[in-house]
Amino acid sequence: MDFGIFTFLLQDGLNSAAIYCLMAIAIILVFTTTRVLFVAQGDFLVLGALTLSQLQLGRVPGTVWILAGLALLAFAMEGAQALRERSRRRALRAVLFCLLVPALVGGGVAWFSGKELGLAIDILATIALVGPIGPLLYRIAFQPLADKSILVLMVVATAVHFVIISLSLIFFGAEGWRTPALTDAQFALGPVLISGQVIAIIVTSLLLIVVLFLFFSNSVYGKSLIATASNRVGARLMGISTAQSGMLSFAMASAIGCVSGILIGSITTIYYDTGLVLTLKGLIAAVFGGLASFPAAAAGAVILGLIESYSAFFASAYKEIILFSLLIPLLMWRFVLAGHQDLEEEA
Amino acid sequence: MSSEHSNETEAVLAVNDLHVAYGNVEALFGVSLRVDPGEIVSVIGANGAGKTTMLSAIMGLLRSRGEIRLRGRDIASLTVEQRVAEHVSLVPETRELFMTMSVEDNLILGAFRPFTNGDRDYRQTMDEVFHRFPKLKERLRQQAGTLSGGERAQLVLGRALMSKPQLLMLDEPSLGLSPIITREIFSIISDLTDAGTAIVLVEQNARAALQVSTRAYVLENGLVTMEGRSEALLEDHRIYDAYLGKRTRDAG
Repeated sequence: MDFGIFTFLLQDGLNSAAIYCLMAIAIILVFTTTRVLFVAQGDFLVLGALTLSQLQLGRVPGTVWILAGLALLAFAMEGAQALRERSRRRALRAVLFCLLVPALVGGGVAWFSGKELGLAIDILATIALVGPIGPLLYRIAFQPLADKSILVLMVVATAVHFVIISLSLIFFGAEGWRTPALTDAQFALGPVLISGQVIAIIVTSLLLIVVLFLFFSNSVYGKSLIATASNRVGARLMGISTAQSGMLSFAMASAIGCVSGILIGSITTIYYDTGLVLTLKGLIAAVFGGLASFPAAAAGAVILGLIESYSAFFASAYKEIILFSLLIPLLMWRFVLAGHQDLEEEA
Repeated sequence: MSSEHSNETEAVLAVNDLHVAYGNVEALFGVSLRVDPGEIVSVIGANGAGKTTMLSAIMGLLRSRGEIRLRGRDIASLTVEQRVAEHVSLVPETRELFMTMSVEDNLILGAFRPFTNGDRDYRQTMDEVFHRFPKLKERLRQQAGTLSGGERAQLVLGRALMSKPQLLMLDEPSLGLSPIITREIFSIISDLTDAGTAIVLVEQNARAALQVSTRAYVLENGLVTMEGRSEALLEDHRIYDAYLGKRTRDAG
């Protein structure tokens, strides 16, 4: 292996690492606030990439219909609750967030698609379409079960995953799609060329990590999310609404997923069912961080990305096997670590 | 202090005919209770008498039937979060601290509702809390889970005060504490009413509770069987036999 190949693989590895890192961040975020191991996180990425590809082709993306369906379902549930509680405020909120906002977003996108307003507008439209899907899914599938066990929540998450990929198959078909590159810029670093796209991906994920870190360590809302995860009863007694915390973290998860989809859509072909494998790799990185620590998960993502890229070169047939086998020693290591923590807490 | 049952001053809390059932099993059979501004009212009774159930129902953690009026307004249909926004605060028996978070973060979260309602200046409230609990200021960066029992008892009270409660409900604040620390905590509790906060104090340690409170209710099997001024109840031989006799005298 010469230096050129070495740096190429390095670049490729960091590229995947950034995506796994974004996956891991969203998985940890959702897990710590709602205890949902959100297997469908990768599907947000798929929805983001496919929606953008359709918008670029001037078509109305199927995401509009997915959003409309979910919004109506959520409206029915919220409306019923408002009737039961005879709460006018709740009814107004349901009309605003489950009818008006989705109708404006969906209608707006349907109206201007095909008018070729440029990549930037298409990206914004993609985020506006995919972003609300997270909180709507939370309202429909998870909020009614918020007090159930982690296992129940994970089974529901798996069901949600299958629903989303089925809908994606219906609306986007079985063929793969690519999105246009965000930038054609290339930088020469000695003998190696680094594409602007790779830099965009890495910078975006670093930026997101910093923003999330500041959000959790400095803002009262961020702290309230951690508190919800740490002690639900305690959080309620402080007046923190666990439902709103869940909604907020799912909104962040779908936005992060969507952005990662927009980022990698131009370097990998995305199919309706690409999401699960990406989720699983993100999950390995998240386990690296004990499903709790963002920086440790980021480190895990980098290790994972590099191992994947170099093993693709040396033993490409065993790439996935090598990657997923990592989980076993990793879990043993976390287990030893966790054993220590428990002892400390009891002391 | 308006310790007399005058109807001219508006009660902070007026509970009327409160019923709570766990499935088919009724736990409270029409409990009524009144707390005036700046008053400490204790509720004593044996294990399983329904004291914790009553507090949970007033906080909105349990479904209940009956009237729960806060300064005249019926709050029985409000959610827990909305009741917190109305400055009702419960310190449960189980404390429910955020063990993995710092002392400071626990206190900040105590001010979550006032903060989101636009009262952004939690630093000042925190200074007042430090004034009452200087120990907490020393432990500011420490994880709540690493505090001693006495410090946790202080943190949980401090966190409750961060929400500027008008009605503060304390469930067994002396649970698991040594007699010295219990005395300390009770002396702090008796000072909490300075700001006009009304306190409902549920205690197994009946003597300590009766000593700091102005009035008291005795709860037995989901019913209020006695009520009156705490001094009078301390002298009452029925109370003495049931709650202050040999068994609990040492603890007081």
